[in-house]
Amino acid sequence: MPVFDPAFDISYEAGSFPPAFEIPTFPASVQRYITSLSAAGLMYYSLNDRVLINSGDDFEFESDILFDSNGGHVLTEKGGGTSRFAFASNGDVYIGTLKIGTISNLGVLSDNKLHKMVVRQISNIFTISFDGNLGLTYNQAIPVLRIDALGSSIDVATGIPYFSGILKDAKIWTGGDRNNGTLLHMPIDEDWKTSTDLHDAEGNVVGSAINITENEADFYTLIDDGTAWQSATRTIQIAGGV
Amino acid sequence: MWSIYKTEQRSVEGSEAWELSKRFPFAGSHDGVNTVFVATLPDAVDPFILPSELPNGDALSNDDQAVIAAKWLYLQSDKALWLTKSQALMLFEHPAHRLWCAKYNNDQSDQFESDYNYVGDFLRSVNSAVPWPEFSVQLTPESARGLMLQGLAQA
Repeated sequence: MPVFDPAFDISYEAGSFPPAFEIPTFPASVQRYITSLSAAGLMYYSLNDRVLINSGDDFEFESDILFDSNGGHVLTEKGGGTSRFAFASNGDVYIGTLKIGTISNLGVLSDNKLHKMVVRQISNIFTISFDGNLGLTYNQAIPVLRIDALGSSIDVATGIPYFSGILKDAKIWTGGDRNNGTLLHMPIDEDWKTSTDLHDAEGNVVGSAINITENEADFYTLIDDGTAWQSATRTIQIAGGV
Repeated sequence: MWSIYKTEQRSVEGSEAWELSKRFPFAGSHDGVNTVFVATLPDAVDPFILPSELPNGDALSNDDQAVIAAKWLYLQSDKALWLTKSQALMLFEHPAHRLWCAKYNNDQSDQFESDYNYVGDFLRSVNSAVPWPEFSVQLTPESARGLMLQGLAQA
């Protein structure tokens, strides 16, 4: 931290800094809470308002994601519905009850690192990518997606559990993609100490944390030129770095 | 610490599970029989605390802890099972838990067979008299669950 030294208090006329004098810049450290979900505890984020994506609608979903080899539900419908976007442990990808393909390297991706996952449907072509690399393409309109929750399981006996790992900085663009759609941005950076409210980037309450306590959130600092998050007990590498 | 109660206890007014359900209304169940809470009730009466080591300090294996937990959960007790988060995560990943929940889809036949054999090998290592038929494609998850219950009673 810079220390103010009164002996070095030189007054200048407004706008007349000497050219040789450079104001040192100290990049502020980036810090935030990151929550780890546990399927064992049936943890998820519940949304107050349903995000409805009809078959054929353009949309885009992006999130930093760290998941284990069991796969899990990422986007789901509550209340006994069957709409969902989920990975099975063998990499199979489900939209609702429809298996649309297989992520062949799911095992590689469950490497305890944060990956940037982008899921989008534009002009009836559905794609999933990780860290900018295409993981799956489905050349048909997917079934309707009714999104009420991030991370929960639904009542179909598929053996796919709740989500275990991290979902952060979730962004959903509806009615288009990131360039022209309507954005719902959920940083998911709460500490859950006094409230289970889930906020969007503007601070509005958009949902709540279910079965999640402050024990699941740790305070992290971005380190190593932005290639990892570090808390007092854990370092999370960011795949692909900055 | 986390706690597990019989799901039916949640509807018993004044019970510990009923109290915890007010804080965690969406606490869930993996097996339909027991409900997992990610907290404990401070004034719970006589909770069973899942041990991680023997009285002499020797660590209990994951299999040993799984058997102790399974035997306790098999009892129709209204008391809580208390366990640490790491124990809960371990039990959730244990083959016996998957076999007990019996939620395998068609693509998980290898997982089902592996879990079945793992649990059978362990139960027979404790008591070689435990009946445990060879795995076959005719075996259903529900029947395997029944075999495990019988085996636990003898292990």
